Amino acid sequence: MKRRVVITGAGIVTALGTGMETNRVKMLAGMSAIAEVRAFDSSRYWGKQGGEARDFKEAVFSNIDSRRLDRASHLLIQAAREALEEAGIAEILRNTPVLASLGTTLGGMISGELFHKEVIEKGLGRARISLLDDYLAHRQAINLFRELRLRGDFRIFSNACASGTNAVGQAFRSLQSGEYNIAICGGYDTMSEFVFAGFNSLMAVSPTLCRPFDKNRDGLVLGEGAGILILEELQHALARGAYIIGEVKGYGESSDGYHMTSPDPEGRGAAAAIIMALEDAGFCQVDYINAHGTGTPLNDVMESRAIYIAFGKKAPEIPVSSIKPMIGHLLGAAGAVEAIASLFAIRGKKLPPNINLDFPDPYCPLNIVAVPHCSCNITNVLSNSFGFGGSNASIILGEYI
Amino acid sequence: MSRLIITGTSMVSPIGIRREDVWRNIETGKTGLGRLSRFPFDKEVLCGEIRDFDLSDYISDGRFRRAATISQYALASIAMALDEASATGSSVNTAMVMGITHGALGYTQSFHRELIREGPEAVSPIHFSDSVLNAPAGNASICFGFNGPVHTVLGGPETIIKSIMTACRMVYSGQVDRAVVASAEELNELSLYCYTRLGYPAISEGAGAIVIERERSDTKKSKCCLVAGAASECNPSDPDAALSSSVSLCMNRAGVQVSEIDLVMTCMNDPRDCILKGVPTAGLSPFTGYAFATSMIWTIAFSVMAIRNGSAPQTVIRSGKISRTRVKNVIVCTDDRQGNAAALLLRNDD
Repeated sequence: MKRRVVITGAGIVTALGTGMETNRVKMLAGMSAIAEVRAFDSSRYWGKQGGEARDFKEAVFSNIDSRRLDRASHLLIQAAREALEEAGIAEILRNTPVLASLGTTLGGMISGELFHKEVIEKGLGRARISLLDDYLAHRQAINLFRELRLRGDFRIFSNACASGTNAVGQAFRSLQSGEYNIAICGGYDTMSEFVFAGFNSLMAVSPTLCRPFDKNRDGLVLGEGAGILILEELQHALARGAYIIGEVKGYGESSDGYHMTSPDPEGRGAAAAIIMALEDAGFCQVDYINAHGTGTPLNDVMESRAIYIAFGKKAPEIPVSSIKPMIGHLLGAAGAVEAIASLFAIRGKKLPPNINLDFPDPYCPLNIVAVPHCSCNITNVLSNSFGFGGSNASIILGEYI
Repeated sequence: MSRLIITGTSMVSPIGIRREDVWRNIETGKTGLGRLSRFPFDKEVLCGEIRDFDLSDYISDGRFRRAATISQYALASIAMALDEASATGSSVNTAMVMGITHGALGYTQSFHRELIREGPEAVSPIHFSDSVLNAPAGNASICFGFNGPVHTVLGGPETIIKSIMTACRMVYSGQVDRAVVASAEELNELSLYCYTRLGYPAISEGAGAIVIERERSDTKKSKCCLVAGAASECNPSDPDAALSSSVSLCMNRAGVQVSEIDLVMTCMNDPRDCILKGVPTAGLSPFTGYAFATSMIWTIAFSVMAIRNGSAPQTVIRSGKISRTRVKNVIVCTDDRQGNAAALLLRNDD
């Protein structure tokens, strides 16, 4: 018998702001935080826009030296602190092992860039190796454990844009199977010039706006941030009288085995992940789909096909939206932040809109929610994430009943 | 209740690429370490390079000829492990878990150097797409047609045991028919410089892979190596407790006492004063050098070979003496002395 897994806390940092309430209000209102990127000289690029977390103030630490930390650690620890505070579980974790299951595509890439710049400018012998202290991705997890004085274990998943959903899904599996009772899970990524240049070189970024499912869409915009969820085994949460904000009902994952940067155009791999998640959730009714919706020509048609394969005739009825036009594509954090957006929809009975949709693409014949939309019937939400290398992950979150 | 077994192993290592070569070279005390020849370096260093490697010897698919070195090593090792496992039938329901520490540093460095020196117009999209951390796993899923979950798990040596635990859960639950756990590492000028300056021993490169399946009634007992138990822990406040807890939990899950363990295999540090004190310890680093997570997959692959052979070459023993005539239980453990520890118990159960 699989154990039930519930969500008792969440924390978020995006370009819309720091914290659950700010993000909830702005996401459900359809506000955009996309602007020309300032972290580096973006004027040289085809696509100059991005979702930078500009109002994010670096976290203050008690147990680790913050001077050598990458921005990635700051984002992660800020979101984790908020989530733990909401869950009211920080004290319990001093004596209880916890699983940290995290997704990132970059780790401390900004630190790596700084080091390499010094190597090029000053030579290897004069570049500061200390810049690399927080470069490798597992260092951020260790920083989290040190700062919050945790014990337990961590897993760092780097499955491109599916990383965040994979991290939440794998934590769900660990709690379901009895391996742990509590998990800190989610994802984080920063705005790095390396990745900005990379997506530009692939001609995957939009020079204007991210317009998922619009026939004039021309690419994604990158973002940065972190999203963290606290998962608990149901009886553990009930026994301590925790306030339950949602339930993880199902998870599915698959791989296209098709191409490094292009999805299988038929959407078969993505559909397999969705169907696995539906099966895991007992084929519950899905009331809203938080789409991967990158705004690239290939992804959105593929995702539409996958939704049709998975839901058949019901596909055109289910409301769908992507929050990426508001905050950008957060890569390893995307799935976790979008899971939190799904919780906003479940709790607020309101759907975050798919802004910038002017001319719906007939090849994406879905029920796209283009403006803020209230609905009383949002009990279960499917959130999709698909990444480079053909990684597919889908998760179903629901109201705790 | 069915058990999980390792049916295929491989090593692309400085000490050899074919299993037989690895075993023979280690048995005869040959080392895979030598003077660096891959790229110019400001001083003479000892490292473990993969020499005379040609991907086409292992993979006929020409699409991967320009893949990063790390991906090429990974593909070759996965092909050999699947071959040994006689993984017949569809690979559709196969999972892949790749544990890595650094990724494609060569392509990452090239891309970033072009960006800094020549600007955004000069960068190569191929260098970018193959520099992402999940590129080796993604290339493997494309090359071998894996449609099950494909994960890249990041970290040091302990990440391989974590990857095995993730893979075992997927196979055990029936989510997939089999899982491939692999790791790869490539030598790179920048990382070699940094680790040499930090006082690391001989750095090396290569790849390794194992195939995990459920035991079936027709499984050949001679090929059987049981994954008997595994555990990992992070406890930066008390690194000793992390190691002890991982080892104890691993043995507990396997139902094995310390007195039943024939050999402790490690990939870098010997286990400190934990409950394994007194058990013979062994390691491959004098032969292979240190390749971070990849060292751990080599250690595990070699342990499987030792269990199948019923013995371990005397050359790998660092302390103690194997007392039993036949090696049956081997515990592989790792401890970074900063609070990250993991242990895996492998057993011959025929």
